[in-house]
Amino acid sequence: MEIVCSPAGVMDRDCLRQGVKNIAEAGFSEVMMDLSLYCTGREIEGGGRDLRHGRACRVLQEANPIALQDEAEDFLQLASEHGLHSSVAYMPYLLTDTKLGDCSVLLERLAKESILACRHAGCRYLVVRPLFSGVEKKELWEANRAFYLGLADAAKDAGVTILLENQCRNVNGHMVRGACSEPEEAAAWVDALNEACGEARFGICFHVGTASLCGMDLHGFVTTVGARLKVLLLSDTDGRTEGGFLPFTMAAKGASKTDWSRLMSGLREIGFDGAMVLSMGDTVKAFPLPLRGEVLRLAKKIGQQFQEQLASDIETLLRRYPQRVIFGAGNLCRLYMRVFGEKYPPLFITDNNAKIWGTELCGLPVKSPAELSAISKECAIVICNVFYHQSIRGQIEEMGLGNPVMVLNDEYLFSSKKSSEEDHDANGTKMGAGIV
Amino acid sequence: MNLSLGVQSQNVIEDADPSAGFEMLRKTGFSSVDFSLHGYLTNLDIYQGQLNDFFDPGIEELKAFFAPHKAAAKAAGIVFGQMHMPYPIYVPKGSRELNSYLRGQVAPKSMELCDFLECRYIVIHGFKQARELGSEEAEWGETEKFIHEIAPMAKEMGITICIENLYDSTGGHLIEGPCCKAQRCVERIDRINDQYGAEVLGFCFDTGHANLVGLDFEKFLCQLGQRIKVLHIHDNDAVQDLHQIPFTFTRTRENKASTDWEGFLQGLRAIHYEGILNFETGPVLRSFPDALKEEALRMIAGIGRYFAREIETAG
Repeated sequence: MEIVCSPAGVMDRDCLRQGVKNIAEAGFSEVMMDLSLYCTGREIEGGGRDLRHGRACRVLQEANPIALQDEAEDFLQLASEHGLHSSVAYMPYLLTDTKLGDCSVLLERLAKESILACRHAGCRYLVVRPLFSGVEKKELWEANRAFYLGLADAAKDAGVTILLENQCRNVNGHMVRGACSEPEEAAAWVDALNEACGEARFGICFHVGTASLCGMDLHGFVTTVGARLKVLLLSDTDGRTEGGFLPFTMAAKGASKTDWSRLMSGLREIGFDGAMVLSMGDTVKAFPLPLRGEVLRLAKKIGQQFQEQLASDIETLLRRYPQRVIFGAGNLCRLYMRVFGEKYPPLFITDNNAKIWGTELCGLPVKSPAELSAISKECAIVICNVFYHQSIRGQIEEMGLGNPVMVLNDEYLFSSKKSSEEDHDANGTKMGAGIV
Repeated sequence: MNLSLGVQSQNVIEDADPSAGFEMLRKTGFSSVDFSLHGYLTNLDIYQGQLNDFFDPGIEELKAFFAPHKAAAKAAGIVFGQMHMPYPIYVPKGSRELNSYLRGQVAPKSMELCDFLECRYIVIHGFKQARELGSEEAEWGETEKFIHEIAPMAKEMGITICIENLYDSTGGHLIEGPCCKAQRCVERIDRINDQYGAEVLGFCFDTGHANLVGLDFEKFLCQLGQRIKVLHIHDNDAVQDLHQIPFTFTRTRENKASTDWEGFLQGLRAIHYEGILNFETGPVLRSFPDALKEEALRMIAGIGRYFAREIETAG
């Protein structure tokens, strides 16, 4: 699974060097080739010129099939110098409140130019937003069917998979669900396109920020589209506007406005192993220049956290060891017992609190950590304590036991396995867990 | 105009003098009431485990309590077009006694009262348990269990229980809750109705809730089709569930409505909706001064007439 950095907000097409450097220094090895940098929605709206800045768009003003490729060349060169690769590209797109009407001819041209740019850059995936402007709702599928199938041959030649992305629709400033936002529809479109071209040339890019903005069930989306999901575009939402916000930065009352827990739960269920693109343009731009590198470093860590959570198949890890004991006689231990206790029963529970040694918890004896020296080397020690797991791990290492150690992390457990009412926090939110 | 207009009884019909309220509805242009039975046992009290004793008496006593309402409505020519069962009917963190009371007393008595008031549609809330149970399917499973508890009564009484699109929240941001997946609702409604050989289950489309979670009104209505039996029409700022008058909210300097009323009308037109255009706008009457209550109701009715004309005119 790749963690990809979106360049949106990190760099401008006229000022690439520092942005590329920041991305590389933050530890990313993948950067998205965002072709909308060279042909923005505002430039399309202005007929080739951004009316706010007066800046002209060469791609739109020249009828050159490799104009996008040419424009992206400096970026690719710099990325390569910094050891960055691009497996995912994003095609230019219209503003959601565009007044242009039918732009299908222009968008088809830009899509084909984007495919050529992908071939040149070695990108596997190209995100192409569905047509919507000037298209009657009842004709949306037919118009898009023709549009996407018109790209299939070029995509095949270039070895590119075209990804359809869930959209929002602008109702006088209020973002509601648009094309491909319902998972059944997105899945049906992709299946029909693949069937029509006789191969899996199309897939789905799930824009989490857009879905969350439109109040969607993130778990439901990913579990419905399943293996069609190739790229995940991770960004947070403020609940009102389209924006690229760093995950976890939009919050109220100690909870995120995006339901990351349910998203992770769904991704685990489908065994997602595609690319995760971190898109946080608005957050990055809001920071002073000297701090932007730090934001990217945090973004990279957030990506790694997601990656670790997704890669942690709890049951596989537990199955790996014939026996196990639990370290920590608290709520997380009770959670373990409720979720896994029957299938993977521990030998006993240990805890540093001497007052509870000799008692029972969930039908198991609670013993002193000194008892760990008596367990077999194949017995895993499962730390059930989120706050002190590092010091407990250190304690176990100091004992020189050599047993495998894992930490039960209560961030994202498969909530489907839990049914107790006791697991709600004050807001009625279900907490999850996973092993890292 | 064939489509009739209804409005929520909350803040209009007072127990001390129901005639005045029903008469006001008639005068202001309504012929139907959405009876707020949930006002007698509020969701806040239920969540806090602070039950009152309203539903404690036997059903005959409760019927006697509502007999003046029934008579007053009849005298004013107002029908009970739909009613709302108290909600939630299951509290995940609630005690066994609380949940047993809600399902064993409140729900069946609500059905009896619905029948007594000659009301054919009762709106219920699905259980909010997707996070707890891990999936929307599992959540629906619990709601369906409850529906099966009251469906036999519904069949016998000729009542249609209506599930409603709801919302949930995370970090103060409202996201979809139970019954927001149109395709699944269609399958579930049809399956349960087939099982009972009667229209025991239908759908209540709530415009305000749909707006909060960005549902595509037209698409949703078209998918549900004839299963849409009743409506909760109200508006909001897409941030909070405000239950305000349609066309009230805008988001841009052009000041065009930020709620997709055109999609709503298109959808109702497409499914040939013949039910009541019912406004769930009780809170409006709290924000207007009492002296303007009638004017507010007249305005709501005027919007209803506009909707009716637009729906009845072939698009």
